[in-house]
Amino acid sequence: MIIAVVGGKGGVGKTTASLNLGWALDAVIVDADLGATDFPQSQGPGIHDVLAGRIKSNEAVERIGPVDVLSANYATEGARASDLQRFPEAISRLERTREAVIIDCPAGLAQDIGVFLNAADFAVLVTTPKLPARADAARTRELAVELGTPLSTIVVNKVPDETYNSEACEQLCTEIEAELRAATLPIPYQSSVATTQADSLPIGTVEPDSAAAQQFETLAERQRGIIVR
Amino acid sequence: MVTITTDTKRRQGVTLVRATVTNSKATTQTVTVESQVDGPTWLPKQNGTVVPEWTDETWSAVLEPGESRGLGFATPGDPTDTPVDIVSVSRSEPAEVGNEQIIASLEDWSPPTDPSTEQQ
Repeated sequence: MIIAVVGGKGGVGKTTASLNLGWALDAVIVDADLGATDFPQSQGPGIHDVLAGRIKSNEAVERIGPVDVLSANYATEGARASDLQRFPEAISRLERTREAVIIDCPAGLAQDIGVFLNAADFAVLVTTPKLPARADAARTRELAVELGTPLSTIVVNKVPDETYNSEACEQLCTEIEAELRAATLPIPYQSSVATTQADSLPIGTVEPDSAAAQQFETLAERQRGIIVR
Repeated sequence: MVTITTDTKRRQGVTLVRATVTNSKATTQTVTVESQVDGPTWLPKQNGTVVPEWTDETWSAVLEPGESRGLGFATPGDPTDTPVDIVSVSRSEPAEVGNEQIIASLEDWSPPTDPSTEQQ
């Protein structure tokens, strides 16, 4: 299965969701943020080399910490030769050997997002409780619907503790479900998620009993149940 | 319904045919009309090429609800009461928009600049 992790707005936690979901599903994570990656970078060839036709996608996958990544190491020469038309072939090459492929998508709504969504079997949409993030998420959802890529889960990320542990959380999720029309999954704000991510570590490897780690595991569990045609 | 009105003028051995096609239906219609004049149809040209609605002796266009379109051609044949007539009317189905078109309509994407080129 190919899962696009999309969001619309930057900073909502797309890379966090990709890293944690990818680890839980033993997936290969494709860092598709070609211009401004915040994913750990490898020293070797990356997605730019794949999209420039210099190397096959499966040959550019590298183990970074506990996850396999096709990284966006844009410090490599010739990044300008990247051609999005090579993306579908690159992804299907990875899918042949891996159970799951996660596409960590950039922010925005340019043609690259269209190509990534189009290559995916379904998408996980990430937002925060804040209204601007939800508005951007709604636009991304619209594009996914137009392209016929279903949304499996809306991750409501960085929910403040006081909301997460109260009835307000359910109310928030119901509201977002009405806006974005897919099942939601709240994830509490937890500062350790970001600090461990800086070392390419999913929170599940460091604090497996924390609320955030358990919610990411639930996210993975929900995707495992999806049958891809 | 879809209606057509016509008129003709004969000048120096050439018949000029004009027609107006009107779609008064509430749905979009594809309309085809054909010359009924006994003689060759000289098709109108724009910038040196035949107007795209014409192929051989038929004119075909998509008319929105309430839309009227004009057409015309010349012929050496003699004028008749019905120099041009509707030969088919069919409801137009909305065009299927492919995913490639949807993607093409999004904001342009360009690959990141080459760091090694930038440094030079």
